[in-house]
Amino acid sequence: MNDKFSFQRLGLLIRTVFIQNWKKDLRIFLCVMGVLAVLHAFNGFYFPINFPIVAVLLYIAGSTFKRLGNQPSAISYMMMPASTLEKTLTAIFYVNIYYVVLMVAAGLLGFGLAILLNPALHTIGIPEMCPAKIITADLGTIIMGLTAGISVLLFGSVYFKKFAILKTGLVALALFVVLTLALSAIMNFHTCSYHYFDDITTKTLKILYYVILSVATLFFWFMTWLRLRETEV
Amino acid sequence: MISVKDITFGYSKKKAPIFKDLSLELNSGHIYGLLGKNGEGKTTLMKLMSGLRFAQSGSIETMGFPAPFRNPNMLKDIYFLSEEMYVPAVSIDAYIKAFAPFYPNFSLEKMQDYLHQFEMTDMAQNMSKMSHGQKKKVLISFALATNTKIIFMDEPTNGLDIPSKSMFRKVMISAADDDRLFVISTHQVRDLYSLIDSIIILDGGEILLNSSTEEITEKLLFKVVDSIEEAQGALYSEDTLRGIYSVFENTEHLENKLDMELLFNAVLCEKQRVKEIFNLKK
Repeated sequence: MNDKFSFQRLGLLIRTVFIQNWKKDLRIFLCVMGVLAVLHAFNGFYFPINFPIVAVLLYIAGSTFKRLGNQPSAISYMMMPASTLEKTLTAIFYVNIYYVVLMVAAGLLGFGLAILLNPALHTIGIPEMCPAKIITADLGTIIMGLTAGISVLLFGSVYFKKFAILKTGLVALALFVVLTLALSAIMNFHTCSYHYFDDITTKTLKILYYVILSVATLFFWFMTWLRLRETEV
Repeated sequence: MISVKDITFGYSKKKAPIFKDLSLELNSGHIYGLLGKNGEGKTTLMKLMSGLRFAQSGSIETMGFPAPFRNPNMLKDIYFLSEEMYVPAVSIDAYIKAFAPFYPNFSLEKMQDYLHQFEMTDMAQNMSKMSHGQKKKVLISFALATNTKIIFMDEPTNGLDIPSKSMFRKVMISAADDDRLFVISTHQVRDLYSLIDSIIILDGGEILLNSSTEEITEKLLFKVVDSIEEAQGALYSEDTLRGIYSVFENTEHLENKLDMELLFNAVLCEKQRVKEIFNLKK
């Protein structure tokens, strides 16, 4: 079997994680569904429905490698006969596909449950808030942004191990402030730069957005793999 | 099977390294007892050999693979049973289903046999709700059932009741063979007396002793003497109600029975003399 990558081992790893976590995942699913149902039912669909789902997904991403902060758990994980690449891909699969599908399903079912709880809802602006609208909205932008955010937190969870979400958030905030200040300083310095940005169309900005976030996502996935490879227990 | 060459390792650059230029060879067909005072690096050495920690210099090869690379083909032939255990909140059945496929030589029959010997017959029992001793029995059974070539055990008898310690010795004897290597780090030498056939003693970042029990009893004499005068010249002596337990150099090559605790104390007390006995006469 290949040292670096084997589909069989990857499948086994994904299965192992599922066997260990399916009960907890079911509880999260029911919780999110219930919370969203209540929020929709009593807020008349004015609550931004993405927020709880995104928050849960980011929290899950930030806790993915939390077990590395507990020695016995870390030993068990690191000694599992799988390559670092396979372990990284398993983590990426779970935070980017499995939990996203689970949370979207919870959101949709919560939406349906809300109508059961408050039948009057079906008369209040359904076309504005129904899932169909979300699907036809700029889904690509949402997914790209979420994927990039998740990749940052995933890397943070393997880099920091303890209080990963808080530390990653603080570092990201600090970087954001520094970059914003730097960009403002550059733009102020070069007076002609304002005219340059007049020519950039929305389409160009969107392409730039996708490119930057794709590169950032791949970068943080690579860094996750690298950091996991260097992890000692 | 495991080759450690001139490794230096420390947790902090500000403090002295735990190991400096340490070398060691471990071969299959043995059950090594790794002994040392608290904090001497027994667990650390096992982690280095299994790839959980990386030495700052030197090399470690485990079954021909560089340990730090944690190659899956190496990992499938190693099992690390740590002192503090991790058990997921699943039944024994589910645990086997989740983890056994990673070990190609895993034997379900052996697993069930070992569990039966440990009187752990309820396969549906949730592992996270078990007592410490029960968890240990399940993980020991699993470790042995993987049929991996190398098993590291850190204080395996901690938390086991007296009958279970006896059972542990029985299952270990049935699991040991010429192709397997066991490294057991322990302070409870009396629990493992009949199992261990080679002893490694660590102290001050170096190996003070690395010999088979046979060689130890050829070169050292463990006996009880009645008076202090008779204990003169001993490497180490200990007053007990039965007499003075002493360790001498076995110049007459008398047959005797190894006492691991006495040996350990003797080695620590007379490091230089023990080194001379075991090195010069090789």
